[in-house]
Amino acid sequence: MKKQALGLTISVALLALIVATAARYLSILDPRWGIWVDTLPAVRSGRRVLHLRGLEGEVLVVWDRWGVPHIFASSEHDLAFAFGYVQAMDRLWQMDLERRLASGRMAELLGEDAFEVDLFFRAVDLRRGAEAIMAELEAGRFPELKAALEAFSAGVNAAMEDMERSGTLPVEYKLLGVKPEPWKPLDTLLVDRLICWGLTGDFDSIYLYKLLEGLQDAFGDEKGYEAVKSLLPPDRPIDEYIIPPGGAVGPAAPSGCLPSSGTQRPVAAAKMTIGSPEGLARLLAWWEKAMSYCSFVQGFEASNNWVVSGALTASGKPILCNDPHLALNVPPTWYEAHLVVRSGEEVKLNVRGVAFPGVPIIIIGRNDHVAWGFTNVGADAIDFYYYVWRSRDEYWYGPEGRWLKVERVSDTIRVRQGGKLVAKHVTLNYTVHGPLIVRWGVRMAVKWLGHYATFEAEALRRYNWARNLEDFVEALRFFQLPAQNHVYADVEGNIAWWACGRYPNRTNLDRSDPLRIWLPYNGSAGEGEWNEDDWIDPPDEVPHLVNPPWGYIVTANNRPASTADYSLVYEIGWTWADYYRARRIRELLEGLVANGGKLTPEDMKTIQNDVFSIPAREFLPYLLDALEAHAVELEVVEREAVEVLASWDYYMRADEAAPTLFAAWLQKLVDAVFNDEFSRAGLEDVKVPISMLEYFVKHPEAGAWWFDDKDTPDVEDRDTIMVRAFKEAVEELRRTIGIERTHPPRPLPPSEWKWGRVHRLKAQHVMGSVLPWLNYPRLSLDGWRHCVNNLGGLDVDHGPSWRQIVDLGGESWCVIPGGQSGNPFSSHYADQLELWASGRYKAMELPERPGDVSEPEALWRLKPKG
Amino acid sequence: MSVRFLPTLSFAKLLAVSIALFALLELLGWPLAILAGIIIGLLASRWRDAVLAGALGCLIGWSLYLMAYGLAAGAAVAKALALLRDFAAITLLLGLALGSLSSSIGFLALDMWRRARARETRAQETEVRGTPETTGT
Repeated sequence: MKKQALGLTISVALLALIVATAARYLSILDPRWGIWVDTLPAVRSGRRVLHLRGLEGEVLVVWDRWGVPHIFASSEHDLAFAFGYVQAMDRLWQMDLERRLASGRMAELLGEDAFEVDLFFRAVDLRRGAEAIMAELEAGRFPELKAALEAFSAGVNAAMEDMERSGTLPVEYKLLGVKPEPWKPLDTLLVDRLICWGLTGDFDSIYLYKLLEGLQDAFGDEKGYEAVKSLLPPDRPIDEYIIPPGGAVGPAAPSGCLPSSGTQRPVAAAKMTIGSPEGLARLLAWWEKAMSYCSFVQGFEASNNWVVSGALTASGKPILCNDPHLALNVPPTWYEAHLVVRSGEEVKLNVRGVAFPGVPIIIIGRNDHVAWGFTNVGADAIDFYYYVWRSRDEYWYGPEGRWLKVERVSDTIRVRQGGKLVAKHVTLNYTVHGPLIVRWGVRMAVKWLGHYATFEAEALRRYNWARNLEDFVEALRFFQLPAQNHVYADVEGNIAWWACGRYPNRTNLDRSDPLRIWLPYNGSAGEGEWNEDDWIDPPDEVPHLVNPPWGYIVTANNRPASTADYSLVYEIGWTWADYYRARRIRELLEGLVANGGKLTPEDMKTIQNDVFSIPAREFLPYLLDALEAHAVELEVVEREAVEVLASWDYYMRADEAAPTLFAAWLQKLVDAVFNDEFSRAGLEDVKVPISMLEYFVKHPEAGAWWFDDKDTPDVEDRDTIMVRAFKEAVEELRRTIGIERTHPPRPLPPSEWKWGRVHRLKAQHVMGSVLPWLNYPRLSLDGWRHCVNNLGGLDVDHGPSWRQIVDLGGESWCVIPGGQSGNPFSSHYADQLELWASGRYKAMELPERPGDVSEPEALWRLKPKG
Repeated sequence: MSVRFLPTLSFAKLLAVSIALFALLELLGWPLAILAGIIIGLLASRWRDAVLAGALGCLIGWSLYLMAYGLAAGAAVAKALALLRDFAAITLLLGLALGSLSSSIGFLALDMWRRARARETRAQETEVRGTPETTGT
């Protein structure tokens, strides 16, 4: 009996121990309800009939071999419902993540680490704009949009219910032990705000303020100001405008808009300081951390689109190309779909392209009449205001003058701690301008266009339905945020471009110097107020081109126009990308048509995947000359590296060594030229326009101050710095990839330092650092930043997030970097990745009937329930 | 003398019932595996049978799910197993542990109860045999 009692006690104790310690794992690994059951929805084949409450008629969904849903509905309502249903089936986790991020609710999932991120997004108040839009929709504006959002939400919720019932919620929920909440129309608008923030919510003005003040403190007012002006001149000496010089558009220049010389110091420097340098540094670090969470929609100053008139193409119709460069993550940023609304024999809508998960509308794509694509304008849609303070609660506002109280709102952020949610109470502050950031001694209001109700969702909905240029132009009026370079083409042969968006028309501003427009404003003086009765609005007031006689339009986040051709250019933005990608695309197009050649989609594929580096072409001759002059100082390995560079054709190919040397040298050169000055302003790793560095290299007298290393007593010149950077780059590469890990280790010559060994894909899932099996494989990649195929960084985490080539008179092509499905067990989790990495495409067809879909994999018949 | 209120099964039958029970109750989630194990323990005639049948029943019962997924979505299961070999091994190990321990608990609890009942019965019989006159009066 004693033996039995002992055995029972031991068994109970062991079982209790297992249950107590492994309950989470048991839930995750549960054969019926854990992750294994997610293998079932990972495979779609054959036919299925689904009865769904909320549908009004029957909808057919044909899944093709790439997992792209082709949805055939008989009404816009059913189309939106079905789109919501299939999106949720493939990307529910991602959708949920996006709305949580925008709402400041990530810590509920990810714990303490995400608390600061939640606090940031609540502090800058992304919800405000979403709620403003919702209020307008509730008031009766854009009823079709509201109906689409509601039908989409119903579809998402139907999918969620089905997944819960069958135990097939995405694996991420099981891993975290949480469940999704129902989807609401507001959630789609929150996703919209998040995208807008990712593309326009920059703190560049704060960086600029910190740089200017830091350099003025370190080197004196005049020198500091000159230094900043030399880096950020109103007109870069080497540039490429979307509108070729002389093609004036838009309204006339306001008086006093042209730049002047001066030695202005930010007014905030005295009593009204925004904050201490340390406080600002922490603020910027906070912004960076928050942005790292929404990197999947961050702009990275890089996207390409171009459109070519039918006069230059083999098909005789325009060709439109677009590759928006966003974060490369898992699942991919975009979800591809083909949407059809038919009424009997009449095809009312036939549109294909990509949407952000959570959005019921094709954002970039084409229909059977028109095609469109976007690059980020880099619009200045955010301003910062500082004040005179009487007390902690009262600030001086306006030129007429009055003391106003800060509005305070209590809020609660819930943080996951050991499986429980712990409430943390925070206070959010507001001034007349918007959210007031109060941290680390910084007090600064943020005014963002996204705090207003903007109606890009309605514009996009109308693009989906547009049948001609007139429809499209009418819809442009509503595309307000985030400003995008729209390229457009249609079957009638029109091509066009608009830097489309709403831009603030700032008042009470000293326009004698563009720097004043870009820096934070004195809110107490009423500086930089937005005139809400008179915006700079599309389509007529923004830079644009319609059917330009030269037959093509290229945009690559570059500056839209010169001041002479578009006088408001400093009002709409100032962080334009360098000219390299736009110039290269133009060079290639002009080369192809130079002798009467006609452009084809194959030519466009070649251009989208082009990895020629204009910076290499422009910089290297100067480096090689300097190295020749300093040849006696070079060691053997450095001389071998010179030989590798000297025989290079400037293409950033994975199987070559010269790109490795060039990329390492350019980074070292940037550090050597700028870090000594920037570090004195408390800034590290500051991005500078490489085209300005190119200008300094070509005109060493203009860059002499920057070339001198302030940390040494000597005065260094350009060549000294370039050679020093080269030696440092070679040394670093020799240490990192210059040794073969054999026994004993064997040194590798520079000719073996292949680019593909260091330039590799790093597309990560948000939980990928803990669960690496969720990440995509680390492929070696061609290309680099400033190439048309802009695969930035060494760990390549951003690049072309969608490649689209639409020939309106022939075949069209597309690809995404990964796969349609967010289910890691699906064959569509990453089935387009190799295609994308190797520059190949899949057909982008527009079948009008379900039976015409090429290579169908499965057919779902969605029927109304009840 | 033994006290019985449940049938005891041969090992082969016990294993078959165990597989079926673990598979069936898994429809309601892993905590029910404990109940399944306890029932198997109650049906076993020997502790060793109980532990083995519980362990194997849970292992096989749970594996049936993976096999069913394999039949319905072979490519996905193959991918899942390739990605998560360790997870699969842990799943089955946990199944083995849950099945064996819970059936051990079932068997030992019943066994103790039986022994207690048997001792009680023996004590009553001894008492009856020791007092004939009284009872015969």
